[in-house]
Amino acid sequence: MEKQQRGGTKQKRLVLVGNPNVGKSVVFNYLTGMYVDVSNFPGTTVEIASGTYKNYLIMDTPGIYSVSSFNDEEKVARDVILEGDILLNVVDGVHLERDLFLTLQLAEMGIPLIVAVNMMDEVKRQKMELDLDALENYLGVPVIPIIAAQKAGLEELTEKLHLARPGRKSQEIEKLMKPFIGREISDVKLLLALEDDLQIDDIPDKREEIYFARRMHVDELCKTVVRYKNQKRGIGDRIGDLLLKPAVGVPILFLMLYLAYQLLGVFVAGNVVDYLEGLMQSTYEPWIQGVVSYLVPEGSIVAEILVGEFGILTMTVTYIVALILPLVIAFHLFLSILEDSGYLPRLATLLDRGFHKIGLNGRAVIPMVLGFGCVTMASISTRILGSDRERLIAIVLLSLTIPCSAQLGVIAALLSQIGFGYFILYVLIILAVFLATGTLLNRVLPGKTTDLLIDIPPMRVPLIKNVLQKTWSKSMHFLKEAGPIFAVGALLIGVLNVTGALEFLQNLTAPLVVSWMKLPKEAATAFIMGIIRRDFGAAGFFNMALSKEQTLVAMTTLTLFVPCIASIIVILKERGIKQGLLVFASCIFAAFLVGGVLAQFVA
Amino acid sequence: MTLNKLQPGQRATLQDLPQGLVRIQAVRLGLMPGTEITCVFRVNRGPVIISKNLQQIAIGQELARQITVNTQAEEGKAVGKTAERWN
Repeated sequence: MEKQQRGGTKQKRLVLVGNPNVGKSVVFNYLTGMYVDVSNFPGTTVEIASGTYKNYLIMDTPGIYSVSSFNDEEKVARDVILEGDILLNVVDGVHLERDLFLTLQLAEMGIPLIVAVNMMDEVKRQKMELDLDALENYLGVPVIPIIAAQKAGLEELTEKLHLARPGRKSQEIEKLMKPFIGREISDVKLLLALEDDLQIDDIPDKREEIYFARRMHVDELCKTVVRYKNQKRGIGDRIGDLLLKPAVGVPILFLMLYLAYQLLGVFVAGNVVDYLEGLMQSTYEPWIQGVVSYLVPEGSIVAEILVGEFGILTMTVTYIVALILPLVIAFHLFLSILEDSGYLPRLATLLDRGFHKIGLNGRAVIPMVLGFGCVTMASISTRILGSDRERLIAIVLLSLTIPCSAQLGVIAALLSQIGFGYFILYVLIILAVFLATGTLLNRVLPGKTTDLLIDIPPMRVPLIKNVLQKTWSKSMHFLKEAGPIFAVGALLIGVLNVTGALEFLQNLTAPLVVSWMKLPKEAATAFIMGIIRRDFGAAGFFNMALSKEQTLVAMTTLTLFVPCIASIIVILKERGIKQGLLVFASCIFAAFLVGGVLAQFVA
Repeated sequence: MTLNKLQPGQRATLQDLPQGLVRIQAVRLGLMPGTEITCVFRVNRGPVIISKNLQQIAIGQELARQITVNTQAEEGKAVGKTAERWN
């Protein structure tokens, strides 16, 4: 990290560390108040929020199960901790067995540590008793009980920050560290080197030994600290268990999908987007066209690229503000609620078996759900998947078969005009292509799918404030990353348009569209337009006199056809040029193949 | 026997876990040789959900096949028909 904020006053870096979903962000917000700076950690997509409290610079870290280097989140947390002066570890009092693994590791690092045990209300409700004095004695650092959501205990926590001190090391760690004492190396670096998370010359990898010992100590410690008065589980847990049963979980999933469709597909993608788009086209676009006409002569190439039909300042801005932004926010809102309530890991578990058939595991549910919002956003989110093989499969499935909500709205409108039967047929065809492609890739790609191994947190009613914060930060992050990509895409299309290349492409595909797919010549234009904005493509079909069969063929082909220019760029970035182009070539081929075969069938 | 064969409600002690990254991840989540667990639920031919005190963990079917466990029956603590029914 840069050290810009360090100069001048003796500001201490206080690093917040904790497992995912332990209420770390609530503590962070309490300490930092309104002035939070969210920045991208260099070289990663991981965000680090920082703010100040008195003379502390507070730095948040991603939720992790231990300081390690298996993924970007862990590497970022590791690097921030290495720079820390004080560590504040937030743990979930109900899940000490899980959370103390990280705590013990932090205690061994030799950096001053203070531990906040959160969810003390839940601890009481679960009829558990925690002997926090025993925990404090064992760790050798202050332990403060808090209920972050109610702000209870937070004042005491801030008053005791200065009491933070390096924790106790276990015998095993002392023994392993001993040969290296006297070297110019800090305890934290030495520990991480022994755990193989930092590469330092001759320090051996003792990770498994250390991890086993640590896990043993955690389990022993929990026996003295945690007492269960009553193992009765709450209503949330019982609901959680039910959701894992296919007989309950699958109907609930369909209910959730229906709700999502109504909220996201109908209300946001329809009403909200229509309203905003109209607003932008009637107020913003004429205004910017006016401004530009002062600077550049109307009708010139530059004017065409800036404010023309596909202008960067007209179409792209309207597209991002009126269409992408509301959809991205709505989808992140939906996903944050699912995540914070504990539903998402259960859904991942329920769907794991199905996903395995197409070479993915349950965690792929996240990019797939996001795909229905925006394929560009979903393609970025494939980074969470466990292996490169899974990321490739997910990206192919997304760009080939998942219609984003911009497109889905128009497709649904067109298909509903020709009857429900055709709509079902459309869904079945796309689903068949989805399953066939996934199965095929799973067979031909070398390697194996990684296995699901996830913690199933208790079901909780999500905190509105946290959900909103998460939604906002994720949406802004997406916009920062994808905004320029949308602009570059529009620029590219603008250039293709003014140079006549767009028309050339349309004429090139026209014969195929007419003879093989039995669609009117203008359909070629609509397909090409779909690359600019997926909804443009579908909308183009509104003005064509198509038979029912032709509509079905057109909508199927359009869905399978390459995604929009922004997704194309993201996919090229994620997969590299060679593989990216191969993905698109395959998509185009598959789209025309399936569309054509379908045309021969229904004709 | 292996973890995927446990019936809901059955208790067992983990014996061995596969090598590699997954082993480290399991230890972090609280699973290592000697850990006592209870099978909570099995998704048909899908993941096995186990609990360790109040914590619940989902383990993919493939991985569950590679984790060996000792049931109480195997350790000779339980007797007779209940044990037979499980196996």
